[in-house]
Amino acid sequence: MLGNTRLPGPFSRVPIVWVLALIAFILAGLSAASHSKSGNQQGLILAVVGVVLVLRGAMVFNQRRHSDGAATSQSTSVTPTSTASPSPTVPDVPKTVIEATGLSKRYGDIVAVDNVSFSVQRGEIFGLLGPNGAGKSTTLEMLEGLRDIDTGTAMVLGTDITTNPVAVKRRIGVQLQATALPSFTTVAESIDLFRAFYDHTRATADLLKEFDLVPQAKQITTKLSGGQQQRLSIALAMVNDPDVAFLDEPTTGLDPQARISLWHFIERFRAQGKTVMLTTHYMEEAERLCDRVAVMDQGRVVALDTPDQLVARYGPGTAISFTNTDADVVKLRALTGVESAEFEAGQVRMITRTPEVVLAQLLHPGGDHPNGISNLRVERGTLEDVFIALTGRDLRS
Amino acid sequence: MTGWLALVKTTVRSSFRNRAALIFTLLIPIFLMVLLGNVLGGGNASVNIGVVDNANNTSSKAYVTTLKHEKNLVVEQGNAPHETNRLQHDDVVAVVVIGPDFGTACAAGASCADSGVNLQLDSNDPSDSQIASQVINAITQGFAQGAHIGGPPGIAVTTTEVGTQNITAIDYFLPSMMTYVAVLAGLTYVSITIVDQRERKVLRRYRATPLHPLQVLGAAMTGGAITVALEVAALALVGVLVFGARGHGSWLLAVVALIVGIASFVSMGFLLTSLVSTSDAARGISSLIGFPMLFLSGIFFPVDALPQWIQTVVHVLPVYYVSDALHQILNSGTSLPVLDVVVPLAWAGGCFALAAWRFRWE
Repeated sequence: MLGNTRLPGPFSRVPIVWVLALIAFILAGLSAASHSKSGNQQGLILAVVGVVLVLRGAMVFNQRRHSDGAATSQSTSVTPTSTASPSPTVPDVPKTVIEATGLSKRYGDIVAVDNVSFSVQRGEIFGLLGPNGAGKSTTLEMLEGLRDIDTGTAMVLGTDITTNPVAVKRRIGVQLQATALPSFTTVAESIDLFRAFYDHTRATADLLKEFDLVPQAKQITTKLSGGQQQRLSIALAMVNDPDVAFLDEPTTGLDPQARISLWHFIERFRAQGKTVMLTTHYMEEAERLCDRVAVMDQGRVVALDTPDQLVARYGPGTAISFTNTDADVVKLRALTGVESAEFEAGQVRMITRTPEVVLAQLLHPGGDHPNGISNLRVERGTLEDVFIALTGRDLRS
Repeated sequence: MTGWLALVKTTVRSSFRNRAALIFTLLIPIFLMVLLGNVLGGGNASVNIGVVDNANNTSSKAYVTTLKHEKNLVVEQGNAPHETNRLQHDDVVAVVVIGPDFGTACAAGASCADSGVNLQLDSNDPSDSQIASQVINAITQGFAQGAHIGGPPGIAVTTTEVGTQNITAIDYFLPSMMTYVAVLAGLTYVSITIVDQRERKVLRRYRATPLHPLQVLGAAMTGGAITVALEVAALALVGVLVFGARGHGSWLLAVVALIVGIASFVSMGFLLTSLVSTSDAARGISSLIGFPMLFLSGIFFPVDALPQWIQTVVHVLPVYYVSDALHQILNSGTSLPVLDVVVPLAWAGGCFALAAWRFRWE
């Protein structure tokens, strides 16, 4: 836009609007001088226009000075124009994208987040898993700069969120728990609106295509289905081609099909080397999507590891069950690796941490089970079991 | 700046897409205009005219009788100064002045003014004086043929437009209704927009962008103010085009007064957002505060009749000054009184500062 452009060459700091303002003032002066009475109104309008242009120019002038001083926002201030080609690898994304140290937040007597620390690496999908009220959203919102941090520090993309929130906000994508969309606005208009907030943006048509919203481009956002609204909500988080995306319960309330389609978008984003931090209370989502999961309960992180490791360490083990009318429980218990075995109404249920070893013995051709084994099932423990083991409570309670 | 402009655009666009709210704010004042425009503006079928008979002969007497028999005209006969005075005071919309030589044939090529009639029309009441003019012309030509007076030109009818200084009821009523819309829409739009966006976490979502918080609030207020200004403009157009209201002063000054007024009402609306948490409550409190302010502003009845202590309240609130400014400019044609700018501006600044200080983002 003309309002943002500056003079060329040695006058590169002077906004063009100041030149226009000068012209307006000269015209105003001429108008006032030449017409004693009737010209006054015209002159007044020109003078007011001039003042507005001066103010606009001052904003441009300060903007430049401000970003010169802030080293962290240099990458965005280099390209102030709003049409930018998506650059898949931004050079200055640090290896540790998010570093939370001792984050705490209290509301009166209630401690919402209690001394939470973790770090998220570049290219990771990091999940906060826990029931409602565990402090997941509060933690996320402190990292997004939406909530003040009581104690502790949060570094996002190498910048302290409390001291330079704007620099962080330029480079992150945010999707809030509630699909917060402007009312009486179409899908394409919403994307255009959010694009206007950033210097470096992706094209509206690209985003519509990527998030399967082309047919809905001219539809009012409130008339979209839940899945479409959620897709738009994530598309809006992607307008500035962020280095890290914060997604707060991205699939809550969606049907399974819409959920799987959203997982694809998140995985595709990560495939570009970008980082994702999300919250969820669906353990299958955490297991499927997340590289690492922090299990939260009552404001604290009670465990943090890959889903596999969490299940292996805190889960009850793997359950092997089958039908065999005359199984010998004592013999089964004696098998290597079996932790427990129960027999009830022809059904055998064994718990083990080494299912491969147990199965090998069980299915050995010379095995001692006359009527054979049928209905064999092997069930691995889930994050749900992990949660129960860690807190003594159900994930959805 | 571009972010702010985009937000303003979105705000204005969505308020105009919200037809229900739009109709709600414009319907009542237009309904009042229809009501009062018809009662006071003179949308009646019959119009009042005056007759001055300078000939006072048989022909002219027959002519006056014909005029009096016309059911669309209410005719009063009097002398010239008296009838002109009545025209000036809007008692009549037209005066028929019968020339001294009425009834005699007009010689070809000669000025027929003395043998014809002169029609004086109130230029400030174009609709009614136009009706009068058409009716009188038709009667006069019919009378000329029936009475077989004169040659082919019949009776010459000359027309004089008389500009009266007096304002019609609708002229007076228009600034009142403009104030009415500015107050109610100003309070409602901004408070509902902000509270609704806060309720649905849209404000929160904007805060997660690099946009400055004041830009978010400023855009909501600017967008609201533009919407209100467009609504007032629409109302003024309806008033002028449909009801024939006329401004007797500078419309540019009226726009300045309105902008100042809208700024104060929009700031008040912004302040209301710190008192309520749902958009329904915002609608309620806007009416709760808006209507008493309107009643205490001289829009519906003169404030002079009110007790002294209420008059004090009236002179503290901004509505009185906005209404006064618009009436002064559009009705009396005076310039914008300084106090009418200062008081609303003080309210705008005070409310904005207080609201920004007390604002809750969630």
